[in-house]
Amino acid sequence: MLQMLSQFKQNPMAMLSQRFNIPQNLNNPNDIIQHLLNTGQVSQQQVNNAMQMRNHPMFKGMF
Amino acid sequence: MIPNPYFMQNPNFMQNPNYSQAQIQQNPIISVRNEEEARNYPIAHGNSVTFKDENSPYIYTKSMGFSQLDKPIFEKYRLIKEEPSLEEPKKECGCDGLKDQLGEIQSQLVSLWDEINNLKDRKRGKNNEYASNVKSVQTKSDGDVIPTI
Repeated sequence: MLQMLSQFKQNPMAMLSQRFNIPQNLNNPNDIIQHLLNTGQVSQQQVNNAMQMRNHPMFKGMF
Repeated sequence: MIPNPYFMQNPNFMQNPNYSQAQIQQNPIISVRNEEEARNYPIAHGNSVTFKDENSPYIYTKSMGFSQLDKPIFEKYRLIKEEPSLEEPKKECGCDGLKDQLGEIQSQLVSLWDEINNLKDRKRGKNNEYASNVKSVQTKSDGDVIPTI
């Protein structure tokens, strides 16, 4: 478990890519979300919620 | 975007009732900062998302068909403020107006009936006068009647 955590800390994108089968050529966050939508791994509702959270003033400047 | 080979292999995809019903899924209105953000917004196949521009009076919609080959359809709508009209609303024909019209029609009908009755009386009087002056009546072979005064 600790090993997994350290791996994630070192290279979070690599672990997430492996977990969600994200092709290596996808680097843009929008393209990655589109891929997750196309593969049915996330729903449109989940994306909407995440995007609204991103645009919320509380998270301003974080993304 | 390149069609993904894992698309149909995902069990979650086929279990999703939104896909099996083959109906475009509507979503709540999403606030965006500009048109570019709306254009780049990720959208799932068989979904339609409506956007409200926070900085300009525009509404955008982005829809995607069910096929993997379908391209997203982006539409832009301008919001126009509707001013309240200065013209007074037209008065609707109320009961009073209808009653007046009905009374007028009724009086016209009464006068027409009086005229018809007068004509009938006059005709009846003429017939009686005519009948009293006739002494004999001859009937021809073809059925015609010839009065003799």
